[in-house]
Amino acid sequence: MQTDELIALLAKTPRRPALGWARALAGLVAAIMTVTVLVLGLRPDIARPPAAMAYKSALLVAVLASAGLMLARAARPLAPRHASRLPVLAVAALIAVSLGWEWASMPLSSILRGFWMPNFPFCLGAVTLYGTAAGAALTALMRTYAPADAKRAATAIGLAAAAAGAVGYSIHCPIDSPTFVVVAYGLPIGWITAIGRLVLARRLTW
Amino acid sequence: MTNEDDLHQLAVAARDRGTTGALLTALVPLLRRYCGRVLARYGRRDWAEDMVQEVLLSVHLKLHTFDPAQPFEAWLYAVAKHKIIDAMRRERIRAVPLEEAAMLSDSQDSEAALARRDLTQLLGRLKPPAGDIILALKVDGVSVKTLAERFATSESNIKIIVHRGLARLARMLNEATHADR
Repeated sequence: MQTDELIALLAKTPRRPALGWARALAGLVAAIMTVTVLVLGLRPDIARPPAAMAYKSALLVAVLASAGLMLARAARPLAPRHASRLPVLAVAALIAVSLGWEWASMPLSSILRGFWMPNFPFCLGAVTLYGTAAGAALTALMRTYAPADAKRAATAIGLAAAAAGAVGYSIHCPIDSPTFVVVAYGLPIGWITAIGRLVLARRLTW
Repeated sequence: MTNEDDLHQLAVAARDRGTTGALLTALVPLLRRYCGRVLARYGRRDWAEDMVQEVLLSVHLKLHTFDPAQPFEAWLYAVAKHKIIDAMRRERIRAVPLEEAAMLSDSQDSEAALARRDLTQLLGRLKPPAGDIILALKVDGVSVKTLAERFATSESNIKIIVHRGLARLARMLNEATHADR
């Protein structure tokens, strides 16, 4: 095909608007929450949630928002000039303050209690499962974009998918202890991000 | 010639309206120059038109990743560079570009030494057939493809031989220059 013919063909082919990352992540979280409600059920105290649940939700949503910004940046062939580190610093500060508060004010037995309950392995499994499914969806979406660095994009997909899984699952899990949240949600977020970086980069050719 | 401002306006309009015909037409000469120049370094100038078409297709499909706050040409060249590297990977071209290899012998020291020495004599000191290949490629302008057929080997191998030969030549010239001082 000649170049002129290609241009004529493309000119007649209207471009479809791409799905934005914010909408995609919001949709994923809504879908995961729906599955959680239908399959696992809401946490028993959801009608009167403790203040600590607000902390857990804020932390997980902050991780998700940071991952969303990372996704949006990684999806372009040309990186934005200024990449703010503020969201990452905010997440780190939130984790540090909440862990500091808990370790200073709560007895060790109380902090570790959640880890002896069945919730711990269940959290690990559920967030991993949700994150894997979300990762597949985000990979399909990333293929409609043009990531300059496939490994960075794959890392962002892993992080965002796991964070979406964690937010969606958190409405079922009744444990809000900062240490538990950091470990039980942080571990699957960490390994899904690492596996995403290793596995997904090859699938992001464009 | 279309400048950055014109291209930027065309790109923003194409991005917002979803029709890319005018933008793609304006990009063709720019992309032909860029792809031709880059691919020539790898002895693949004949790929240039195919690559132009691939980049045009990517511009059409990926224009939503262009941020109007950034220069359009920078975005365009980032896309073109990605497509060229991708094509190189597909074809498993890993040899160092000949021009880059040749730069090893392009220093002022080398030029001074070259002026004093017979190039053919120096090339004769390379392991055969490196000298003949470099002479044919660099002096006579024979293509990599023709040389590959002539020496019954692959084009990649020709490039590797040339790269190593030029590097060896550069070392010989440097040694000669330092010996003269």
